[in-house]
Amino acid sequence: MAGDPNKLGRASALTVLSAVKPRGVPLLRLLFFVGPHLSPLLKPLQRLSFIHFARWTLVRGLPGQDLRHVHLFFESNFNGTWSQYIDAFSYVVPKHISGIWRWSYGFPGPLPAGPFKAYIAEHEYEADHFYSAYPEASVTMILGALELRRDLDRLRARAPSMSAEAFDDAYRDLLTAHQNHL
Amino acid sequence: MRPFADTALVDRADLQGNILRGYGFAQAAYVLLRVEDERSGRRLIEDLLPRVTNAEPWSAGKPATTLNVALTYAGLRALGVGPDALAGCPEDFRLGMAARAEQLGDTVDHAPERWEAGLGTEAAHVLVMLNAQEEAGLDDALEDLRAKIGAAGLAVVHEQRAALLEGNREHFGFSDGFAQPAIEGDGVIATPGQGTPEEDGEWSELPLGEFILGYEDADRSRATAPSGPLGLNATYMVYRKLHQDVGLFRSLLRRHSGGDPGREELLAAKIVGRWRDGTPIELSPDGSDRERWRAADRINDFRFEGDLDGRRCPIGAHVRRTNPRDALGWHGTRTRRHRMIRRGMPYGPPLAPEATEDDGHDRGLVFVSFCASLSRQFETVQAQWCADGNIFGLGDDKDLLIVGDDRDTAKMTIQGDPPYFLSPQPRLVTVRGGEYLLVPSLAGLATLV
Amino acid sequence: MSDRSGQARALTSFTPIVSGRAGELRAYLRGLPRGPASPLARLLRTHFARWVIIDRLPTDPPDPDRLEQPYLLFTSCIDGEADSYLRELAEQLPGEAETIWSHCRGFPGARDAGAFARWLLDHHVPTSFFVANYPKATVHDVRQSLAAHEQLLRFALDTQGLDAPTRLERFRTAFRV
Repeated sequence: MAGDPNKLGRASALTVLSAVKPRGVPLLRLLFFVGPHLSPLLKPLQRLSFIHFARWTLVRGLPGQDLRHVHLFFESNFNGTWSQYIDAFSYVVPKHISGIWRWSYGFPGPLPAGPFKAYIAEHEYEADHFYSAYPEASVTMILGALELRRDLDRLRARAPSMSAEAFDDAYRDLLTAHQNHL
Repeated sequence: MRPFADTALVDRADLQGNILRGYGFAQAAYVLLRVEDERSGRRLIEDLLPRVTNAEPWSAGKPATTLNVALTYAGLRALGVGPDALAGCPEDFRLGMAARAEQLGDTVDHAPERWEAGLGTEAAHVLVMLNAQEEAGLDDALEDLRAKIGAAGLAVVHEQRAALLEGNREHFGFSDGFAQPAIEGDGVIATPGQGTPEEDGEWSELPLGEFILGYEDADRSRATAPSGPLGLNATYMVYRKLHQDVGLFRSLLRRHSGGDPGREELLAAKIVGRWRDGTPIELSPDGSDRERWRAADRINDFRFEGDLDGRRCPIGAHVRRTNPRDALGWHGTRTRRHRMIRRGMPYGPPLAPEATEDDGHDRGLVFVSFCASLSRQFETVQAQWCADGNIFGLGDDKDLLIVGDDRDTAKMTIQGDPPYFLSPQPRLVTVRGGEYLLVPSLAGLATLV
Repeated sequence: MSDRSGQARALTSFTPIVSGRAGELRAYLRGLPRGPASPLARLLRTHFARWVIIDRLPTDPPDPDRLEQPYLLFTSCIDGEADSYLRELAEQLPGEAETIWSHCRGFPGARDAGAFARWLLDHHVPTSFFVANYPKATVHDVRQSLAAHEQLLRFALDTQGLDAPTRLERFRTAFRV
């Protein structure tokens, strides 16, 4: 089928491998261990709101082959263009990028964005088949819809016993609260 | 090897005019030519070169007319530019606007198959731009140009005249053209709001290389450009003829305001993000007050951080989409690399003041912009910010002013308590055709002789 | 080490490809229909998934590793447990699973769902850090919410400006209350 293999609707796939310097391995393990618990660390990533799911994995060996170097595997499912994605990381959260990739051989640093983009391009793999269960939906669309549905269900539950005026107020509140998700 | 200049000041004698500073003339003509053979094409360039207007300040008063030249990628090839120089051309410029139709949202009525003759085909090679203070002057300059074109044996594939409307408005009635990026070394004193919003509340100027090839840009790099003189003191140009259905716009306003002129004006301001006289709705939500802001040179001095929910200026308003300033968070970090210089001009006669239906006359805007990266600057704004709304959290919503949307749930949300949904979303603007061009320096043009 | 975020799981497997067969596998994968017609669409617990042939390793270190054979990478962001998911995979995609993984060394076949799941889990690499933007939502939750959004938007546009009693009546009908 035609089209960019790393894209499906709004969804984009990024698959990256880099080799990690020996002294970086324990530091990365620590970072990954602590990471989920450091919400200030995760907040900017959440605000950027274009990552559906992402994972980092330290690969010490592959089935059937030992590796001299530990490799850092990164995969992301995001929305937006590849360029926007890397730019946002470089310009908005360079310290996060640095924190994770600084021990990868060849890493040029998050800024300027040009060389960082080139590094990612060199280290990325094109998906041979990429699937998304909801390719037309972006992260913000999904987050908005999840919240909206909760409130809509509440209104549906109340509706049978409401007067027209009471319903009108509640409906108006619903629209007002969710107007930027509609 | 690409030459470069690392001073912030650009060589004004070498740079063509109307890029860093607008001429401010009332009349223009755009003549797009096809080069039949290299020799005759080069002869024309040679003929025109002494008349090309550069960016030097006018010490002896304004000239009656100006002349500038730009070329498409096909044009560079037709004039025999070698593969080495061409190899430096970025993909967006090389492919041309018509090939990018899908990305830009130029589909259905906007599709290149429906464009005016000559535009978007490989036949468009050389664009000659004439600006004039008076119509008579423009007529003369055009006559002169036609003689030269005839003598050189080239063919005109597209021609478009344009002229400022009364009060510097565009056809929908909005004051336009005064919001431009503040650029280092352009010789123009920046007013607050033109640059990039910074954390300290100030506005910083944009590096020259964001607009002029051969200079350092905001990523401390140089934009992709042809090698040699063609890639220095040059810029990429967007030429895009946009038809405007003024009657439809007026009837849309009427329909949604119940015939109340005050509400019509408010609705128009909500759609655009400015009142018709240019006052930003962000600064002046209840009514225009141009003098207050204009006098203090503050007509562009506003941010969106205090209005993230869009209650003053709707999140999808046109000026908010085309220059989000700090609305994407982290001050201007996410927007500063997507600015454009705009030098467009309206074309066609104004629609009669009370008409709410199209009268069949061709009218609209010749959209002209300059930048150092078509894909990062023009295309991002057009495709990601106007033909889509997701970056603003607006999902599929498109810019109501310039992008039509046939879906039955197409709308623009006017934020409020409760919100108002402007729906359906008719096609107010139709792309009639366009081109991507290179505007070389005078030295660059000299290599084409 | 965490493969989980909320109810979502990250599945990552690297299976070695039999010598000389990577090209054929790539062609097969690239030829699969995409979107709702993808074989993976039958696995309703799949948010995102991909097959990627890894045929080279980074050459940046002074003594870079070299792959002895290419690997088939299969990753998936799923709802719930990996074991039951992989069994489902063998059951819902028997043909494709057989064709794809038969290119890999040691493949036990897809007919025995349990054996298939065990084999892939043997080749599973645990994730160090998994980030999910909506960790509590299943694929079903996401799809239902998107549908609810569409329905409410339509309703909001259709009933804008109507009086209160009419709107309530329409709401009751539209949302089957």
